[in-house]
Amino acid sequence: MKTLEAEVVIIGGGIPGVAAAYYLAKAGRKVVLLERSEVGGEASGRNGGGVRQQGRDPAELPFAMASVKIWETLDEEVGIDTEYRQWGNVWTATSESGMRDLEERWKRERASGLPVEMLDHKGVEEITGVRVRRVIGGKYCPTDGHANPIFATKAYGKAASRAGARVFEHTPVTGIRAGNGEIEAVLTKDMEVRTGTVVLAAGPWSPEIGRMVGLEMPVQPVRSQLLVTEQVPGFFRQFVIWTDGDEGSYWRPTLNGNIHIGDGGSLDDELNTFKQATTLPVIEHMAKATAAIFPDLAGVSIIRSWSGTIAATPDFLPIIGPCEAVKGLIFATGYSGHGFCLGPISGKLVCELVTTGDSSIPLEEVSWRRFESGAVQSKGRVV
Amino acid sequence: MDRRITNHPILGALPGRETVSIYVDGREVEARAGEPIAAALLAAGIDVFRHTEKYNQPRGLFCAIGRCTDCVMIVNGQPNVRTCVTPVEDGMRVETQTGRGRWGESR
Repeated sequence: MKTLEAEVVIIGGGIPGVAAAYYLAKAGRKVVLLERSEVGGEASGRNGGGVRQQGRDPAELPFAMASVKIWETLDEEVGIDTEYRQWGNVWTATSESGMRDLEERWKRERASGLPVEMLDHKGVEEITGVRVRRVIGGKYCPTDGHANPIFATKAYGKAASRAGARVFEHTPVTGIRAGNGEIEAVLTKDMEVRTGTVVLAAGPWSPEIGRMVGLEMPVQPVRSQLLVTEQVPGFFRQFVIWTDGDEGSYWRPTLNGNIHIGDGGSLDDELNTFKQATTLPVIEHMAKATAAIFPDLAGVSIIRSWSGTIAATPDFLPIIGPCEAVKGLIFATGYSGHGFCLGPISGKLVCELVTTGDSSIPLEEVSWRRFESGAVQSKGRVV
Repeated sequence: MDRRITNHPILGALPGRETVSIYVDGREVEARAGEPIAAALLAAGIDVFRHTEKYNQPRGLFCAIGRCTDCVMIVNGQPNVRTCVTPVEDGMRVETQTGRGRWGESR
């Protein structure tokens, strides 16, 4: 049994974990990060790559806006081209009720300082530069964008290592030792890492870690499936979303000319599962939505499908901040499918909490406490 | 130019079949009904199906079973069509593709 000392142990090598490791190491803290598989190997490296502010829950919007500020200079920070491009996000609707919903959000988001604008059908075609069918209109946010999930997450991990964090991959946590309600050490198969501070950034595996310190966490694993097309001639540059009631899909053009197609995960089969196979009904749904909305893509070949497991909370808001019941425990989890965009700000906030005990964004609405007070109501569906 | 094997030592004589016309970069090419586009092109002496995006190198038939995507061309305005597994149709327009190709006007 090897014994290590660390000021902070981060559990989970998704983007919230590696970003926290990076900022903490840069601030001079002795950091150990433990990852059960590999950095970016789960949802942080498997998602659609959206970096979006529009359409967020009002409680989440300040976090998304602050995260985009970090994304804007992230390449300099981590030293590679993460393929982050601030090329905008177009959220489309195919029904009158969908348009009314977009208009309500538009009003609210304008008031929050987001430069969103409403588009009619022609406006959607003009902005995207492609033929669009069935769409009545949309909402456009020019400061949104997208990035390469694998590049960005791995780059954050490498930057954390360069800054002095010790990152252990293929090292699942087997236990947490606590005495008198205070954390003393994090255990793995052959290591004991002595620490007073643990950052729980284990996404859908968080409840497993929570139970080690006696917590029941309302975090559910949800499958999210994706497709990628072959390379196509010049297509839209924006991240495009379509929703209609419980249905929806999204599209991200990669810099190589492939198009990533994702789905919101509304089917029951997608809920409460760690399965990562892709399934025909969901693939079919995404392919049909693509062909129906973008006629130019109707004949394009799909070359791969895959899925990732997201960590959904009952209100689809993340859990960021300290746990009052277990001294030294800080949450950075439950991102409900929004962790890729929010990863950078999550890392910064964790660093602030560790180094100053305070945070530059109020954490009340994303606190662990909201579950203890019973105030949380379950919301419809993850978008 | 016709490079078809009309008398194969094992398979025997090429049976007669209905022909259709396809248009390769505007030029009419006669094809046997139902054969893959790639077969018609090879028979007509056409070996270069596309040019690569980065180095503009010529590519043609490689795996011939629909896996490698080396033989893709623009067919009836649709880029990236695998000609080795796509049967000819009368009046089909086939174009040599450069890079990722381009969307045709009428699809």
